[in-house]
Amino acid sequence: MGLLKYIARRLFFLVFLVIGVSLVVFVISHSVPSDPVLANLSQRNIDNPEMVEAFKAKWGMDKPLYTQYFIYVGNLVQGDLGTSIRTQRPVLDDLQDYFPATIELAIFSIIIAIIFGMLFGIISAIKRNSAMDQLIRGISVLGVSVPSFWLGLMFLLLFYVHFGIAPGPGRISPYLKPPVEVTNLYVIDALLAGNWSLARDALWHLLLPGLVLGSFTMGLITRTTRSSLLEVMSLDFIRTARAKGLTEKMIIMRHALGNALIPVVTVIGIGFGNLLGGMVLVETIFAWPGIGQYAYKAAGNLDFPAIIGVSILISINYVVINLLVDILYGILDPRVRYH
Amino acid sequence: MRKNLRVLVALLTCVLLFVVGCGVSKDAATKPEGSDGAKQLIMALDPDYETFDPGLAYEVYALLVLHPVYDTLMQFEDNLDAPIDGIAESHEVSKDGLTYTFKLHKGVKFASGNPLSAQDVKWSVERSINLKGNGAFLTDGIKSIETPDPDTVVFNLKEQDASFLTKLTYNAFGVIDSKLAMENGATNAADASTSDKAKLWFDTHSAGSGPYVIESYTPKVEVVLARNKNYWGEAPYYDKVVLKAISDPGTQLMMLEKGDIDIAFNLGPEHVKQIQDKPGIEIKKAQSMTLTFLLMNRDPKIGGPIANPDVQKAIRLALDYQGMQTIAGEGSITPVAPFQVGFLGTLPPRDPKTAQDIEKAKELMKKAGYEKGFKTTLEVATLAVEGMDLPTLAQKIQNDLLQIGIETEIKTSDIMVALDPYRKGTQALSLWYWGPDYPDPNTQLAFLPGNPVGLRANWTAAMNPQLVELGKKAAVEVDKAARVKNLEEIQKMMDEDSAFNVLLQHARHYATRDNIKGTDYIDLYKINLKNVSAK
Repeated sequence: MGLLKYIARRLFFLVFLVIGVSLVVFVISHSVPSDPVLANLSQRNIDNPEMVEAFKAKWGMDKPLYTQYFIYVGNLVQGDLGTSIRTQRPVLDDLQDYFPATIELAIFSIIIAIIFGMLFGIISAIKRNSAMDQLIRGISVLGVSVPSFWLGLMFLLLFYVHFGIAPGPGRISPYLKPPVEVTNLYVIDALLAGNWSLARDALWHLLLPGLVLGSFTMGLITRTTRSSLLEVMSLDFIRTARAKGLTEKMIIMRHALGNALIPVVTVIGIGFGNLLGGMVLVETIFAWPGIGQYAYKAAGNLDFPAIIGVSILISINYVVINLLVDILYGILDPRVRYH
Repeated sequence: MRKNLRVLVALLTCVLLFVVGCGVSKDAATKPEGSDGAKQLIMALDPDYETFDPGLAYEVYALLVLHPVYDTLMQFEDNLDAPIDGIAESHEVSKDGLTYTFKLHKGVKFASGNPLSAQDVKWSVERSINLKGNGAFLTDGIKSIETPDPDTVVFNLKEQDASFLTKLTYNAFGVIDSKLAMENGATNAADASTSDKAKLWFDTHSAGSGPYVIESYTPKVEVVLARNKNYWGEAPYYDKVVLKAISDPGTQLMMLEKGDIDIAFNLGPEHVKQIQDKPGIEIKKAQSMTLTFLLMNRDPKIGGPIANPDVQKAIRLALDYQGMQTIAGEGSITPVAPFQVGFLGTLPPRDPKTAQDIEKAKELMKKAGYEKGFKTTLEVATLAVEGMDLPTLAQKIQNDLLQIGIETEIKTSDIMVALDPYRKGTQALSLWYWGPDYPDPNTQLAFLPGNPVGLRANWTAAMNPQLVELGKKAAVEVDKAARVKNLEEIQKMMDEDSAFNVLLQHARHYATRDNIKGTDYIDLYKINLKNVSAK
């Protein structure tokens, strides 16, 4: 019951967070010394006062700033994020189009990052200071420090163009038609439509961008797992376990790993939050229509409704992920209590 | 260690299995869509379109999609010299240049099967006027539209407009199936800018009579055009055209090399070099209509020494145009005035080898009283024009101007920030770019004194009344020979006295697979998709 109350309370505060984020983003984006009229109207129309007035009236820019904000919040509490000036579509529709592509890639990337990151971290900790440890530490440093757009380009050049063993950019092969939209997660939608070959193609296209994006988080997870595990392995209860004659494998899997996981889960949470925020450069290289590209274009056009919409979405992501991480803490460590 | 290795090997095997397993689908993927062997063209581009509503769309790539979907009364075929009849069978211009009468092709049907009539033309143009979209200014000169019979449309103009036929090639004049559009929320009423609800419908559907229809549109992913089975003209070669949104030129290049796409449209000069000797690829070069120019303010309070016409001429003579063309890439040229090569009446471009004359420039500086030079600011937006970085060009200008004693400090800012002072005319010296509003020299008259762009340099009509007069004449002259003469005279005068110095008319680089043809560049449509076919 304590847990449910805790979740309900956290979600309740989410409402205030959303309004707070909208206010901060609204103030910051309206402080930029430039004019959305210039960004969105053609040169000819800017010269025509009637057109400028019509534009301002259409987007409510003829009203005082505080009125504009209150209208926005009024609509927001009814679930209406407004209409994008640039695409002239409801922001919610735009987000529904772009965000699933990001979710699909983020999930795939985080799975790769968790599997390899934790495994490498465990091996590295067990074989501390061995050649294997050095190799893994080298890989994790590379994963964290190599710019992902460069890695993306190299992967495409090597595995797609040169060797021809990996898929090209895009969510599916250019010859194929996207699946009928249900969730807009292509793999799921293709499976729902019973199109197995399209599902495989969509999954196949997640490989390179997934590896590129996953490599950064993988590096972080590897390093955190290693250091956390090393710390736990030096504690008294591990010595006791050893004294009891348990095998090294049992000590790690049953006793050490669980205790070492809390900082790792935190890193995974932050990494997943970052991935869900979209990655403009990697999305551009892999022609991936994700939220990063949408946010980038929105900012370039001073498309206020879209900018605020994306900011709210990203802040909700973090709140939900942090909540999940907190819940996981409790599962991993029964001493954690929710208040 | 051995155990760990085993785990590692097992993991790598899993990854390999995944790759191979999914890779199997690659064979299926490389087959053209559909088992019926439908012919499909795939073009990659970095699109800017946000809507396919012909009454609203006014982006650079809008007509690439809308030209093959919506017929227009007039159209361009191979060059931008003069438009030819489109859905109009013939046209007639009254002697006073105020009335344009069009006879429509008979028996034309929309893709829906509805017949196309003069009423549809009138309805479509009225909708564009009342929607007040970005392209609505093209309709500004229209006084009234009459439809004396179902096959005749008459446009009455408020005043003569030498560019009216060219304006008719735009999608703002695209003929819409009014019956179908109204069923989906469209209206031509005076309050259409607020009461028309068809924009979202038009984004994923179409109501035209052109060779293709819009089959689907997924923002930032693709637009799919399918053959219009009711098309009145010769059917296009491809059953489907897929326009893929791939913004990175490097990615486009890789996909072209692999044969995954047929056209890579947004390449820079450096990309072209990479594929010069690659088999199966044809490199295409064309003249873009985009200009890069220097704005030199004529108001002494803002420009200081820059406002002096002799200093402005000295700047024109001090620059190394050959070096700038090297920065902009092969195929770029330097027109003598803000009139693009390719438009009616444009003079041949400057010879970059002889255009620079430092001695003469120094003499002019002396004449202006600035023999020892001066300091000023060169403002530039941080963006790339046709693959060329504007701040890089600013550095080149900075070096060139040092030779005549002008010391410039480069001030960079984001385009959204830079636009404001540019439009208000408060920049002393700045570097800008320009794309024509429509493919006719009339759109370039904006650079003349007293006109919108001229005023951004505070170049008022009173400063060169002769040029202003000539501009007015050129804007309305319907006789081609007389118009060319006027335009040539304007350019010669602007070469002598202008607040603008055109630095570059850029080149457009793109590449196609070598088994297709009909992909020649035409600035308005980019590529006329109707004409593309297999070799």
